[in-house]
Amino acid sequence: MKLKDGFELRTICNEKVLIACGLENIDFSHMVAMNESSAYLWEQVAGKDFDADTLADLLCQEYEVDRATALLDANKLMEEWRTCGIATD
Amino acid sequence: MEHNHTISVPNHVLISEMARVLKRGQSATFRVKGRSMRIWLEDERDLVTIKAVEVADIRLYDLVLAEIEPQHYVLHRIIRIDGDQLTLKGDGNVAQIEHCCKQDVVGRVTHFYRKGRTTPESVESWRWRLYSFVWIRLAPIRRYLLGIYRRTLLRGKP
Repeated sequence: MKLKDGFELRTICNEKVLIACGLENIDFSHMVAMNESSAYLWEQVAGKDFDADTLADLLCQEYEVDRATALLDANKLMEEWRTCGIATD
Repeated sequence: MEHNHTISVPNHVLISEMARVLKRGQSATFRVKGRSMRIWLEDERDLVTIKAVEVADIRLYDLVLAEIEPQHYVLHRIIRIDGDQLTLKGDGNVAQIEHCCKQDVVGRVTHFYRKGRTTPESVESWRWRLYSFVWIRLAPIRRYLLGIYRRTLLRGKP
């Protein structure tokens, strides 16, 4: 999986929000609010190919979570990103 | 673990972000909230794109996003210009008008995305120009036109 180009992670109202950014236009109608872990993963895998294992590894490095739970979360997150149209296989 | 969630961003915070974008020379696209720009723009349905505008370039009947009171913004049409003072009115409003200065204009609408369309429609298009020409002149009977619009095309929506 790879993150789609053209999104920028910004902080609005102390929340991490993903906004569609083109060179000339910023689309505020497509905003995805992210929690801390989701934003962390987004930043870590930007510009790279990744899979559920990559995300699970990153979650285990950063948070106190067992591998099985991390993998479950990673798969769920990848599905959410796919549904939101912010990442592609 | 919930990763993506919905947050409610106050209007003035969102518009401050937009203002920052516009100052960099980019445009900003956002979803219309409210019914005051009926019949052209519908609440939560349509999108508009705005761009920064030089004070000297502000024209009568432009559709602008303006701060009419501290942290209170409207997307309305300019119906009168007196020097530096602007009078605004939503196309869907019968009597309500607002006042502000040219400096309070955050940006001017350049394009619309109406009824779920993905192709932008410019404010230079004949459709917008024709609509504006007619709608502005029908102001005296706007109350009745809006009533008919609500009862027929919107089928009883508020």
